[in-house]
Amino acid sequence: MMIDLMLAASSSHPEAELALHIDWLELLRWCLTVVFMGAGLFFVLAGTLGVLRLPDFYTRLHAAGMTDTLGAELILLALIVQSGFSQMSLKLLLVALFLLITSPTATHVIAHSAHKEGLEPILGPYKAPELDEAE
Amino acid sequence: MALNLLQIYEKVIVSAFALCVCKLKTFRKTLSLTYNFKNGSFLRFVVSLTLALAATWLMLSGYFKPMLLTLGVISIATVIGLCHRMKIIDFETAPYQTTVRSIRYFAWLFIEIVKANMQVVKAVLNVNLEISPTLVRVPMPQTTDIGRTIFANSITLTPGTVSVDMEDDEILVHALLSEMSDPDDFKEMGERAAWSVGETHIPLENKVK
Repeated sequence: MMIDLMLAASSSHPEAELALHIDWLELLRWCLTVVFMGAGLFFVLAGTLGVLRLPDFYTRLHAAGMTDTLGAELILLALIVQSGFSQMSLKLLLVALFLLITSPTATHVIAHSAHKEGLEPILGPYKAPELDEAE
Repeated sequence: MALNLLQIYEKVIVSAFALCVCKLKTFRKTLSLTYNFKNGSFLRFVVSLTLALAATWLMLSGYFKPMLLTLGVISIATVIGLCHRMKIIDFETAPYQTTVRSIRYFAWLFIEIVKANMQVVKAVLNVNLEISPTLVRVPMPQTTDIGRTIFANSITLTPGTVSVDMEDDEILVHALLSEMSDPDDFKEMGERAAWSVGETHIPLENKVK
């Protein structure tokens, strides 16, 4: 659809004006998809960075949780908008719902087993070490 | 063809419910020991569970061919039968009476999730990575298992807080930032979670003492 638009705008064909009939609903849907997908990818990226940067097991769980909630949900929302009102979007909604139930359960199981095994969390204020200290 | 089949389904469903009613009258005593009648009757849970299962089947298959519909009816009947044998047809299996409350709670929770995500993103992408992990004990005001599960899962679902352990009436919560372990926030979330499953609210102060 976007390619059609670009072609219509660039062609010097006399019927180009006729081809510039824009389907606004479709355009809005595309924009929303891009916005949601971009935001979702940002949160997934931030979650990944967090898993790499944070100091211990428990704090890394929080970063992973960020990917589970807003990251995955926003990407699913983008897919729902893209598929329109159909059976597929209902299925995607169901996937989103299941994800919201299962991901905290899994996180809790991991945290609980670590706590039971006696893994001590880092507590109190923490700052990233300076680069020279780390070497 | 399709109309006849629909009539047959209607008869099957009606007779299944009639059977349930008969059983209910016969085994009322044993049932009342097994099932929780506090939030509604047994038949109500069967009906709501059947409707939910039928909706799920139709949503996932999307076909209205007679053979596939028959298979759907058979599987729904099997599931209901299995649930009945396992004696788990109660409010926890079919919590659909509080759907409106659940949706409202979820809308509130989603806003909280977005806010918490912003905080965690800021903390994680900070150059100095200024975090202050804390462990706090949060009292649970809920009385039912499902209310407690929803509360603990909501805590974990909100980024920055993870419920680690459950002891007696308290949840051990690990928070990424110390400002996230504010007891008032947990209190509000706990009360809303209890409200979302239709619990009559018990003031938190009375429970702690």
